[in-house]
Amino acid sequence: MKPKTSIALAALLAAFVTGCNDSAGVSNPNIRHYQQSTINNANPRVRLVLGSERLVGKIALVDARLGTAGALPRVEVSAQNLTDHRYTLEYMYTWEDQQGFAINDNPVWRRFVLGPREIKSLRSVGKSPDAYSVTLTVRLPDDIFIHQEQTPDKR
Amino acid sequence: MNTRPTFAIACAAAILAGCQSNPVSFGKQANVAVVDSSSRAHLQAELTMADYTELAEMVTNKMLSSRFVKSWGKRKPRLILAKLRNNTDNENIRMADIYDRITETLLNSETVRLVDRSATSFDYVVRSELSSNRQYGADGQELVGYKLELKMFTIDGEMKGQWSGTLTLAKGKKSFF
Repeated sequence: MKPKTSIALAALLAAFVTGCNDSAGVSNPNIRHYQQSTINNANPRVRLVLGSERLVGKIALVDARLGTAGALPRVEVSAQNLTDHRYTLEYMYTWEDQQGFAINDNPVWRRFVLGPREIKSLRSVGKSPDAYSVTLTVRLPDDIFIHQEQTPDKR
Repeated sequence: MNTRPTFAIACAAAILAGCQSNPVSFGKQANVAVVDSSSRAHLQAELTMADYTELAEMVTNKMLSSRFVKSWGKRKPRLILAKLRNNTDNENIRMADIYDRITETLLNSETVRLVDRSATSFDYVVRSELSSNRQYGADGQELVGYKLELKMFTIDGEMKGQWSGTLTLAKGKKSFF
């Protein structure tokens, strides 16, 4: 075998082996989430998630405020429409305790409308005194009927 | 050799194959699917379980966030949650489910001690009422507003707080087809 061919084969093999050992592969159990343009966790207790890349730069989640309501933690985040369009959206808060375990509170999506350039406050109260950190997700409305309209059953 | 017919058949096959690419399907056997219970899908302009949850939590959270309830501090007063009144035009609304969501939120908050309606020793009574109004438009359009209200009284009958939450459902026009 020519030396050049041997070197090329060795490089290819090394690339394969490196690829197999990639610790930042599909899943990493030691990180809270993969950083994306749709996620902001500047506040360690409040994680803000936009449910679609299409909302980035159009809807902003700002001014996270944490407080208490009696023994319970309370959070309020402002959603700002950066465009001249009207958006119908849904939001959901999910709470976690200090160890990061989810508080089992059966959350539901709440629909809201943001008019052009409007700012609206989205609030939630932790369902248990153990609630510590919170994730707010804002997404475009989604339910079974929207799916059916997008992919009508052609039988 | 004339390659045009072969090319046309290949194009047609590619188009047909494209039409069958993994459509999202729901319950092909009987058109029934298990859906995310946090979803807000509605078949009618009536309340669903998710709506009960939202309404109950919205109002209960307002109560728990109020200055009056916050003033209790670590003291846990004894509270009776009176029977929820259904003042809507629909007798089929499951008031027990709304009642249970309110008690669940109150209990989890560890802010009050809930006592039975038959109890003789208590500090406050919370009366609650669900009401609705309905408007009809042309072609089956419908607009329904629901309001859940909590009122807190002392044993002397003094009203200490009132909190309400609303939810509006709109039904669009019936399709011509």
